[in-house]
Amino acid sequence: MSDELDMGAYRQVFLSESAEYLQGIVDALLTLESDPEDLEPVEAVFRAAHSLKGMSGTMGYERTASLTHTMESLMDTVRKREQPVTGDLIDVVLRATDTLRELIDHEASGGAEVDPELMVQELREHTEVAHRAAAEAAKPAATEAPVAAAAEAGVVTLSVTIESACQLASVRAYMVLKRLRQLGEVVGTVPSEEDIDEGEFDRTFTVSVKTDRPGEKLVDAVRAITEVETASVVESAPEPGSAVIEAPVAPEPSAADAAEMGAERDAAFGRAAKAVPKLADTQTVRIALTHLDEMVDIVGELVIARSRLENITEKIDDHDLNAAVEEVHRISAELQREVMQTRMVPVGNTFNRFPRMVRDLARDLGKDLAFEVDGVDIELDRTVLDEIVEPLVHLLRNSIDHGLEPADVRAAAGKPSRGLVRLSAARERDRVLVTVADDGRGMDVERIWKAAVARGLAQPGERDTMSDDDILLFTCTPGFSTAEHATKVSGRGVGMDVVRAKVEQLGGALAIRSRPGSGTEFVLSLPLTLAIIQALLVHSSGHIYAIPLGAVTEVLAYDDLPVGTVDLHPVLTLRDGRVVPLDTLDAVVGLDEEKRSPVRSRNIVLLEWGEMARAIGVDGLVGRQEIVIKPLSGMFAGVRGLSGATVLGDGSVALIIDPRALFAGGEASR
Amino acid sequence: MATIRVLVVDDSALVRQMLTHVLRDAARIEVVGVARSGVEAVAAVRALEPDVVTLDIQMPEMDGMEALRLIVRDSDARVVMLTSVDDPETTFKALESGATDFILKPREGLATSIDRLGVDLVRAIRAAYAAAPEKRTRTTAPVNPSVPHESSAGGDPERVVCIASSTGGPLALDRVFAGLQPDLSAAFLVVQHLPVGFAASLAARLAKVAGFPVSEAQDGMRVTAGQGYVAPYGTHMRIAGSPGKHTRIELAPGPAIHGLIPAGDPLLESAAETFGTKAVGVVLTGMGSDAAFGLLAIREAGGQTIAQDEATSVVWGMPRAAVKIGAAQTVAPIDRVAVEIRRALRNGVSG
Repeated sequence: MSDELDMGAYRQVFLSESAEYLQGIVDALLTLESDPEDLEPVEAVFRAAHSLKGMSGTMGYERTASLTHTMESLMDTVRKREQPVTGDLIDVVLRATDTLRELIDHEASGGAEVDPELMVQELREHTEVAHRAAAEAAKPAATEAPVAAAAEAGVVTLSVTIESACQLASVRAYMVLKRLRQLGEVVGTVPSEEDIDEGEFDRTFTVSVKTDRPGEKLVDAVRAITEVETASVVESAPEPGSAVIEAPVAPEPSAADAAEMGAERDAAFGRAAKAVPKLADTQTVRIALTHLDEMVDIVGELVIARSRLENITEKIDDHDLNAAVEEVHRISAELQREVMQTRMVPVGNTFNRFPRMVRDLARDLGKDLAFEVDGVDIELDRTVLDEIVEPLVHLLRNSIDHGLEPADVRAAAGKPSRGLVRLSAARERDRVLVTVADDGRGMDVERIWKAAVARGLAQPGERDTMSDDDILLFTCTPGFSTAEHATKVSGRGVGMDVVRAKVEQLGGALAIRSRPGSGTEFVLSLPLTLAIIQALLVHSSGHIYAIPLGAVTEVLAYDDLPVGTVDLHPVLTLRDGRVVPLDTLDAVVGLDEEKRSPVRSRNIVLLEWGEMARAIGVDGLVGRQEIVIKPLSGMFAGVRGLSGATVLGDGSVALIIDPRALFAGGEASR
Repeated sequence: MATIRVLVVDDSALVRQMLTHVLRDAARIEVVGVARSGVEAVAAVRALEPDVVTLDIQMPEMDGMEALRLIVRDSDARVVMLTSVDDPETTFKALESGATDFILKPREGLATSIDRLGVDLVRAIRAAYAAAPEKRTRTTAPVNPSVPHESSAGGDPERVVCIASSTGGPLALDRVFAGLQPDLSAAFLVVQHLPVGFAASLAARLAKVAGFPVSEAQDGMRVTAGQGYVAPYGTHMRIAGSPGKHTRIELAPGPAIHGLIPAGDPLLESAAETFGTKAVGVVLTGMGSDAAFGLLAIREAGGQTIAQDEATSVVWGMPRAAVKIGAAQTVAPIDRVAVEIRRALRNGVSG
């Protein structure tokens, strides 16, 4: 078994698994820093270092094994409370993690440049300090310390209920007790710990913890454990020992009840057999993204070929052929869905690198802030996700550097001195909204408006036609920056144009919302996937166009709704009373040679983008179809309002309308 | 022969993959499941009822020690711990808690690691499978550490007691050494099949329960009466010199015997040659047939021989082989072995 291929495969597993552990270490350290009294993350760091040590040993990566060994030893001293968690300690371990990341890359590729020895020494020194302190503490006088600490601690009694579906209630209970021991001293349980261990409790047990932590913290910690249904504080006593624990009053189960319960339990075990991860279930294959890209291309071609086949079938109209083609349709649709699914990854995969970055940045800039990350399970196409990293870095940097005021300014304004920066993802129809928000000073719309006018980007008279949000988007104009910000190293405006361009290039849109004094929100609205979309095919002046179905709200016959004119421009009055501009498709894509009136259109397609709507007149509808987006080239490359082209079933080319661009001109109504 | 159904428990995907890979190629072994934490392990043992579980120690949610306790309590699965070289203490604790055997996580580079696992892990799994579930936990009271005996510097030993053990050996040795009196006429030599780095730790444990010095043997070391010696990893241990004169330890790498280095045979055979009637041979629990011929050599040289009985052996392999070829004069349960050794030493003195 010295097959090169296997070796390479193991190396891949090693690399991706160590990346996970490294991320886990960083996450845990940051959690630890936010609450240095709760030692749960210390366990995670210790375990990760230990696992990395074992793995690198197995691979024969001696330097990595040595560095992780010293990290493990250091964390062991923290775990045993031989030294407190300090900013310095977290710093040194974070730096060790950086070294480790570099070292793993080098050692795994056979390189010898990275020498961890200095880092190893530094970690050893930190470990030694703790050992000396522990030795000191072991001397007789030290026994006073814990007693003094205990005097301040109260006893909190929690009632904890395990989910009824839980197969291993005693195991979960063990985890609850273990977690609570990280937060204090477990002084008693009802029923006894032995009974709980034997599973001799009816889903609910109480546990008393001597701790200086608030009861809610304990409750939160316990609720975070899998299969814990509820946890609540039943008693909180300031003095240790004064807590009265009342046993839950429950009738003794009769023998028959017990037998029945046993039978239920056995039945439940039978089901459990399916839930346990079998070898086959847990096996994964790692595929290079290039393979997936290729698969998407091929599936795209399959979709096109399928459409052509469907066209031909329509003409022949043979029953058997129809059935077979329908089958092909179903199968290829399934294949397509699966392939696209393989490209979807949780945004957390990328978001998880930000807490560390935000921490370092906040430290550098002397800002005190809390960083929240939400919606990490939301999935997004891998390519889209990769592309938005840079824009997000920029937006986060902006929020921390310029959005958040200094602590004294915040305090003076009556805000909490600790700032808040939030990064979140949410699914909305076929789009994912990624938001970077802060609770800082906000942006001054009037100042931006004046700057926009001064630069000739807007006419003073237009002020009333523009919303605040529109005005904020002026900050995304290249070179735009307000006087106040220009004095800083990097103003709000710098780089925002790049952010917007990148988001739009991905088929997304950027929106800014801000209220002076209470914060700013940047919302990236992104497509789930890039390659294949559902589209409405229409024709206009002999061309076929594809309109992404996500933007289409309604398709009307021309005389379904009343058409009128406002300022000589045709408008459509919707059922809800809104009046929206009506244009021919030719006009909106700027290919309107005949200058036809939309009045001659046979159908009207109603598009909505965000809160805006507009009506597009077309010569006719072709149908609804999945299309594969190919980039535009040649004569159409610069045409406004088009985002790409696609090849149709009959081999002809359809242009894809970019609904976002249709709404960017400000002609649309709200 | 039945297939051994194995559950692999480790939080590292790399290790899980290596273990399942190695076991896939082993005859009569089937990996029926994998688990990534103690909690998953306990659930998987319940659902899959594996014969043998390979268990990691450091894991999220519930560590291997706690999972071990529950697995031993609630199922018949035998547990092989995967431990790291720098943690013999936890390993011995795991054995006390009912683990049948343990192996080291390999750390010599990928190719060697896989080769080593292919040998050590498969051997340990087969040995564990051979052990009866009810022998996993001790029903007898735990050994009380002995009060240290006054140790006067002994001279060359008049007699040697040579003990060979394997699977289940560390705990069996505990019980034997706890029952030994420091006999200033005899030295105690032990070959226990252990991974690298564990001999010193085992010696320290035995010293604690015996109350007399026990150390990891070194090449050329003088053998002193009233003391114990544990063979280190990677070399065979032999005894040289003669009763009462220049008794010393010889360590030689030599070829593996029964696939083992150290093996019990070389020690027992050398004791038969050098000490003859003044040698006592003991074969304790263990898989395979190591030390049977060594024990026979001692018996044929006029020495005294003891084998552990079937009921108290975790795996009645080595003692059975010895009994089968007629090498064992006495067959005794583990709690009687120390008594038999003391009797043999007395017999030797009187006879």
